[in-house]
Amino acid sequence: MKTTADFICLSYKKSDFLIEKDMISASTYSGQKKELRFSRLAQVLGREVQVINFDFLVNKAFHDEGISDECMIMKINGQYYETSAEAFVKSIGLRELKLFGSIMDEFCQQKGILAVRYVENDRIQYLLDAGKFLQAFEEDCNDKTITG
Amino acid sequence: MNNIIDTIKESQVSENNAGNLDETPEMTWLIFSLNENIYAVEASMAKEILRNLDIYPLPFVPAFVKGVINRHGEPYSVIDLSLFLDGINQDVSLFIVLNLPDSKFCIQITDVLDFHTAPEDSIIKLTEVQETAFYTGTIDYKGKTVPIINAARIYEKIRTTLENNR
Repeated sequence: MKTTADFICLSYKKSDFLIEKDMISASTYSGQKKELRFSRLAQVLGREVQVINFDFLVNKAFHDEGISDECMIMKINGQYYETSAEAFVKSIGLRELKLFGSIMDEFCQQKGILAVRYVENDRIQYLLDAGKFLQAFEEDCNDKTITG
Repeated sequence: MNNIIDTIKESQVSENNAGNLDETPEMTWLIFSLNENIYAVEASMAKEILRNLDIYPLPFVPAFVKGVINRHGEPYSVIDLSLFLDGINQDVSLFIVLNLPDSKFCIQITDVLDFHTAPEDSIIKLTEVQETAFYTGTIDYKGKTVPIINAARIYEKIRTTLENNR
């Protein structure tokens, strides 16, 4: 039975976001200085694609994590995202990932927040399903009109 | 001559017998405040009282769910009871972990005031007509009428709210 899995850890000022490594099919560094807006059109591997700004999602949905100039573009489950977080691969024991319990589990999983992991220095790591999270974010924005 | 253990045992037996003569069973309530208002919850519903913990944000949840705290490495969802009951936001780090089956919830409160023991028959039960969704009755505490929180009903309301927000 599988007891560990590899995740891409996107590490911001206050919290980390984990995405299953298998979901990521490509990544590249982007030199462009970033603006904090929902998405932009960018040239990736010779093609113009829509890139979702992951920093924007995190800053609006969780809390202000700030942004830095260093930027990376990743393809997660077919959708391009860019992030200024420090990114690294981490192997994590599955037992360390904690579910929210009963009715919160169903709700959070539908919103793409699958589990959390508490780590040292009072930090939290959120395990995300990026696609579901983006969908939940867009639905939430339709109510609050917060997209940039 | 009795040793100290025998003496303790004897005193406990006599205390228990004295208690039996009293007949009326007693209950213990956790008395707490939400801003200026005082409430009670059955002490058996409180698993633990926690303070000074960070609340980590959870997006897309209803406003009264403030986020999650780290309770011994497990995420416990924080319900701001003041916001839930009275629509008034709180900014305190004091939580009662609720003893509800299969759930990881805690309520955010303003202060713990007392553990109050009173005869069970001192509860003024609300009739079905009078009963609001979130209280089972009231008790008298230091001359004040204090509503008793119905944790199971609150949990049910949270469940339906979450279902409607999916």
